[in-house]
Amino acid sequence: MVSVTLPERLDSSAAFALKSEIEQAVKNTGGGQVALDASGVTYLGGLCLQVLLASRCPLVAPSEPVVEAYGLFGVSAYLTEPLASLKE
Amino acid sequence: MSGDMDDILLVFFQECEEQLQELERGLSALSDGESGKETINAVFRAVHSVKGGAASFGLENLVRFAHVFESSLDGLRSGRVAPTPEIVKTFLKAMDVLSDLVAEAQGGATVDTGRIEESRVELQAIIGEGSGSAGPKEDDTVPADFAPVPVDFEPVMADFDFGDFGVEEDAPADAASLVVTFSPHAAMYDRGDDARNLLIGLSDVAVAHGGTSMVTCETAALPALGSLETEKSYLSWRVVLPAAVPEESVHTVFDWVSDVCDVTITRDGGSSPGSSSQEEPAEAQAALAEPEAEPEAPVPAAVQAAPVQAPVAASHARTPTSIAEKIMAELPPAPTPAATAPIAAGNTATRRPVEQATIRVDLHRVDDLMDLVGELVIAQAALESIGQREDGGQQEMIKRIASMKTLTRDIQDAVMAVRAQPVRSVFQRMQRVVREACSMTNKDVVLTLEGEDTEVDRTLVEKLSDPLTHMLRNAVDHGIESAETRIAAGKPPTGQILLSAGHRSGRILITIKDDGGGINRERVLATAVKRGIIAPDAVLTDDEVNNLIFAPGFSTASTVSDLSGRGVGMDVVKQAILGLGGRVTINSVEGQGTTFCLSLPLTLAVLDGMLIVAAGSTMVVPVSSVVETMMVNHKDIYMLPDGANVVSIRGACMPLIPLASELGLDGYKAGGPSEEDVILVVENESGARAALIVEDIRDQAQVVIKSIEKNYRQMSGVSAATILGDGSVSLILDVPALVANALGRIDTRPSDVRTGLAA
Repeated sequence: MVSVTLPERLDSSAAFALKSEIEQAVKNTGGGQVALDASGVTYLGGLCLQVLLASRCPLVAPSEPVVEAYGLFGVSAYLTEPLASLKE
Repeated sequence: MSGDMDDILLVFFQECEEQLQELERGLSALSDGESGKETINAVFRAVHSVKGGAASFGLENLVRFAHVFESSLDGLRSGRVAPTPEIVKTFLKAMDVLSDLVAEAQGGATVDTGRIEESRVELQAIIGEGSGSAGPKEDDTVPADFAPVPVDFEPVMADFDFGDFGVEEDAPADAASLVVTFSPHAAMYDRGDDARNLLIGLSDVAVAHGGTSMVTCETAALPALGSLETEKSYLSWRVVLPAAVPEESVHTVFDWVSDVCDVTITRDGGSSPGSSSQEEPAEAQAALAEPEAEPEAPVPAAVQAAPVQAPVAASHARTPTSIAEKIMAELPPAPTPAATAPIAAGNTATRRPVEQATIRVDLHRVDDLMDLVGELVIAQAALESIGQREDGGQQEMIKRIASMKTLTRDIQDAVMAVRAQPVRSVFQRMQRVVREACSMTNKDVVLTLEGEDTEVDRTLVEKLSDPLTHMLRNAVDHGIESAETRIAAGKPPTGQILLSAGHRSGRILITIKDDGGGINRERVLATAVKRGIIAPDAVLTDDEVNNLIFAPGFSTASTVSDLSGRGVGMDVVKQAILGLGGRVTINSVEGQGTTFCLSLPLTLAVLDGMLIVAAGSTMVVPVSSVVETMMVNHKDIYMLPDGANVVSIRGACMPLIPLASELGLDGYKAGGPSEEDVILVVENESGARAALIVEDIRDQAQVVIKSIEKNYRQMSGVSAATILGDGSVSLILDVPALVANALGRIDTRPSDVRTGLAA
């Protein structure tokens, strides 16, 4: 499983880069599973949260701030279980 | 309220003033078809700042209206709405309401709720909120703090609906927990804010009230990663707060994002009680049917109606698409009478010094002044050292005094610059005057401003407002014809009024030019005869007839309208302008329009004067009115059959006025002008010239104007007095009055065709 290490600060300005990075990783694996290493993340904002949730990738070793942020955003459930894939 | 608070408030109102000007400027630009992003943003910012500031001072009415305004503007900003002339007009109207609300907050007159309502409905209509779903929240809450005006309840009641999202339910639904749902717009993130902050705020609120918040995130709208636009906002949240949390504190959390985030706040389960405040028109009617309950107890009425309506309303609440609903929901709850009372009291108590006792000055102007004062100190030291010298240092002294003279003048200019203000502030206010006059008379008039940057002394700026208001109202009411008449006359249906300012030979010239029907001289004359202002057999020139409209008690309006026609206006205008040392002239061409020219001194303090001698006494003629000077040449002087003299100067004849005899001084020698006498060719504002004969020209100097009216009484031919360097008192001549007297006419006619053309 390919792992993407997430940057330290996931604020609004980081959203675009985050999306590109995850997309790139997904592409590289040829549609395989990509794990997001959230161990170094210290800040998570609303826009990046959207990207993380939309990626439907599991988080690996989420840092304390990430766990807190997921709690704050009311999405703790997705910490362990990514959002169900879209039925498209 | 503390003194500090007063100061801050004062600053806030000053800023409001500036923001409103900015708003006016932006909206004018919009109406001129300049709908650039920058313009729209500027307009938006202006309203937003007013709202933000007002929110921090708890000026509820202002905040609420500004909010609706802002939301509509946001429609413009986001490109959902195109700035059509109608929409810009609505915005302009809303701006008027907004500035009235600012004035109200400042302790001014209470704004008619009906007007606010009307404007609000129009604003909401812009962003696609029909009046049916628009929620004039005020209807059921505001009367508590406004003086009850029953009339206001009639038409608008019918369209209030959801209103307060549970404000009324506060009491009955005490135990219910507070449910907040919100979905941020992309714009919120643009602004650097984050949903995170709101959630933190909400959780803090919950903790502060001894509970915790329960957050659920709605992710249904989230697309797949590939089609996700990172700057867009897809998530929305539902937060359940403990019952103890008052709504106010939730509103506070959303205070700064209320325009970029959809929020709903409900009690308990979220559907029934909260949304039940969404009343149907029918229900409003029902509420209306109990008029006795309305003015003093609107809240019970609404609550009462709510349960009945709940099922219907609930279905509406399910579709939280109405922007207006969300807007209203975000608003801070209606102030209870108790809460507003101190504010209101504060308003009246603290807003006394409305007469802006302060001015804002560009820093560099103050710096310039400081530099000059520094120079002055050096010059003074230099003079002192010369005075102490043994040899007297005559030459040196004269040199120093000369430089000191320049310095004094520079300082004077610098001080004037500090006091100078562009006439823009007054001019822009006039847009509104015209707009209001238009809506009262059902005419369509465009006011064009020119030269708003012209700077004049601030005392003048302030005093210009009233006369200009009168004159513009007159121009709209009497000057511009009705659209039908205009079309019949082959003119475009929209009337044009030009208001311009400019400097002209040391004075400020303000012109108000309309393209209306011009002055109907026959009617003016007939009216004047009827009112006994002139004798029935009087023969008047066109100019004299025009000037009759300034006569006290004159009015041609057959009926007194709201706007004008009471016959006091123009007389007052003339007095006001004369009081400022100015003059009004009229130029009217029947069928083409009327031009009023106001000529005013730049300052009321100092003028450049020519010191002349008449009958042995020194007098001052303002340099600005002197065109040229020359020696008397008897060959050029001709006597008219009536005994008056004219002088021909390069082929142009003008009346010759021996100043001393004109002023009734004894010393004037009979036998006409002598060879030593000097001719001053003087001119009034409209270009009429006359030749004044004086004995000598002494000097040219700046003189300080001392009012003679204040200290003595008004004298014809003399505008003021001054004190000369030798300590003697000297009179400052009122040249235009002298010219007018000498010509034996009312005021201003060019003395011949050529000067008329040249002028």
